[in-house]
Amino acid sequence: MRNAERVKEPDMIARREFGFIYFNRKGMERHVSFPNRETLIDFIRNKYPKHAFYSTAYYTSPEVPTMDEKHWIGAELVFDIDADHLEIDCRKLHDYWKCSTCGREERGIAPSRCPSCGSDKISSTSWVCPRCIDAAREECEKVVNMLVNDLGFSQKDIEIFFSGHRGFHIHLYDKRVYNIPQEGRREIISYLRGEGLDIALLIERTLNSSIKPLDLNGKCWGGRIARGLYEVVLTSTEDYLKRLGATASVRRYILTNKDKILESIENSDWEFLREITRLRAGKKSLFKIIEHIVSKYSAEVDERVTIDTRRLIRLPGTLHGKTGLEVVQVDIDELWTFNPFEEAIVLDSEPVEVEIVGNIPERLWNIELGKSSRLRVPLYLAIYLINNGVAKLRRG
Amino acid sequence: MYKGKIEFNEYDIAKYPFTIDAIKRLDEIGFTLEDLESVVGGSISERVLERILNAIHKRTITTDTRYLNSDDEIIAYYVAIMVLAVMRDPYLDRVYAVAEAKRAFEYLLHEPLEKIIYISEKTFSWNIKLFTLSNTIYPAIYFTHFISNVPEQRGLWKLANRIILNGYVVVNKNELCRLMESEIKRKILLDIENMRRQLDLFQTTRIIEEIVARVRNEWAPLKKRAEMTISAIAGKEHRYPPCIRRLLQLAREGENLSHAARFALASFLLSIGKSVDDVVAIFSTAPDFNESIARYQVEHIAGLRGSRKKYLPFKCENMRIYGLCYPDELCEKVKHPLQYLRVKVKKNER
Repeated sequence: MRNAERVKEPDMIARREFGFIYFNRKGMERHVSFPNRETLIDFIRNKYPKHAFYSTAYYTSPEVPTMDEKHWIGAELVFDIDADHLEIDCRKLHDYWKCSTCGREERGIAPSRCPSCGSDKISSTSWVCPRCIDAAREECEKVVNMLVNDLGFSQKDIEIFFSGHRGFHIHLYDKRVYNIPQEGRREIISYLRGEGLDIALLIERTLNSSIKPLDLNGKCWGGRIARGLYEVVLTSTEDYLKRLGATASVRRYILTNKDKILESIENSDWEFLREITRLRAGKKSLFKIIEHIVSKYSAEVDERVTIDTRRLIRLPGTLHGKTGLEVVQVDIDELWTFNPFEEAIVLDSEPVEVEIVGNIPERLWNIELGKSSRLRVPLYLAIYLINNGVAKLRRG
Repeated sequence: MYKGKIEFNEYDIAKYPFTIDAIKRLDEIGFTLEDLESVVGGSISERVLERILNAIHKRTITTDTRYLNSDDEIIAYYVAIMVLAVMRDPYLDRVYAVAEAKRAFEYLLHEPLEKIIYISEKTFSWNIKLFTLSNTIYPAIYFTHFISNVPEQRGLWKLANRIILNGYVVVNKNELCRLMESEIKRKILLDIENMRRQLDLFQTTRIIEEIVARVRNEWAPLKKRAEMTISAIAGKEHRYPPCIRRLLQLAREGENLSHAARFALASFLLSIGKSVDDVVAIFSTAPDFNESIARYQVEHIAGLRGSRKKYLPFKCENMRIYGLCYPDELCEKVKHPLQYLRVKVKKNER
């Protein structure tokens, strides 16, 4: 495919604001607009930006420099899933930070203050590995599931893009969401996270109301928690329940009545919950079990991106200036088989020699780097290392 | 779902003068501003004044049944909107919109479900479906209308605590009316705004100017008092966390704050040593302010009533969940709004 053909411009291109960051100067050029795809491609060709973004919002006059005068019409609903925001073990292996005050340096997630001298001047380098991507995939899948099953969106209105770095962007193009104000978008994030989910209310309504939120077939939080409870009981062992925080009496109750409870759940009979709450510290145990279920199903996304209805997001089909990887569309059904370290690499793989001048992980994108200070690596990887300031190209 | 299938008579139009049906009727009547000068016009003008003054003093709009069968009622509504447009006072706009919305809410509660759905679909383009659950029919509204109109983001108003069927949130009649109240308030503010934009297209008449003058007379002292108390209290406001500053600003503009927002603001101000009187005064700009209720609630938060427990403000996490968090850079360092104050003071001392 020719490079220009890769660029996937947003719909109603003339209503969008574009922003670019360049190789040779600081800051972002904003408030750029294009009447059509051809002018956008010409612009990119002539100015070869390092990063390219477009506004998720539609404006009457996207080219005007002040936000008020742009006249906001609406905005896509977008979700940003970034391994940077997830607590995953691999970051301890490949992320790296250095305190510019006292010089302390370590592998792992950068602390907000240096543990040695207390300075907050900390520089960090983060790398992306297959495990980061897997963690992001998992969150991505949860978000898509909730958008389709709970909120009733059609899969054909949802597109997923690899962000070019450590995660995915989910774009929702359904017209019904374009006018949701910021507070509403915040509430959608809250929903995906299961925030503000009131367990006491859930149990109370399930036991005393004619329509019960807990429902094995339910397609909202009540459904997920019902299925989670079923799973917990089904796989319950003394150890497992203890780990979840259930007290001895609750553990005994669940383990001795296992089959009966499972059958009750299947028949939408939740009276056993009442019995559990009557046990010693029963309510507390039940809350802990449900909290565990909620945290298991809740999806972690970067809320700022979703809430900000004037935000710029990466233009699909362009390269991420830090990694050199392409922001490439991922088919929903191929989310788990997508391999960014093959499918998002578009730069040449011809080997080049680099000199390592910083701290690098031993393995990057399925390539063993070892500990030598001079390396021969494919061009695309050399660019990633150089962009992160840890390598220099050796000439001649 | 009910579009066009339901009877929406002149009583309904008088009760809900902001609906599409009412606008249609207004066109049919062919009312002009000159008509206000006539004998009938006199009683309409009185009703216009009554509507606005009711909103100012009673925080709702009472309706004399005399008017209920009359086109005068919708004319009075639109003339009131015109008066507010001329006055150009956003604070008064909100007081009025809240009062009108509350009036509509009270009527809606007594309507059959079909009529409520009819208004929400026809005037507000809501998507509503009916579901039968446990042999009872429940309305369910598309979730975007739900999240845009909840009075606060707690308990059953939180999407995570609802039963959702394919994007539709199951609600009861009462909840449906409450959600409509928010939408109606927005519609009325929009009506005023649209009218304001057309002001230079027509000449205001002597009668309109007279009504404006009379409203201004009653409103000015109330407005001034409220504004003064807030600015006197705010004092070192620049040190407050952005969430609290925002709430103070909204209170100042007469915005109708949610229960959680009021709690957050009151508990914060009490915690930093403001008196019950000061805090009650802050809420005096609220469009639905009732001094004795406000005082009771503030005293409760201060620990002077009920369980005698002094309430602490929400921590940052809860502020976020309730949709009240609007962080700045310093917020990254704190987990509680009170902590912000300390960090800020320390930073300034350095």
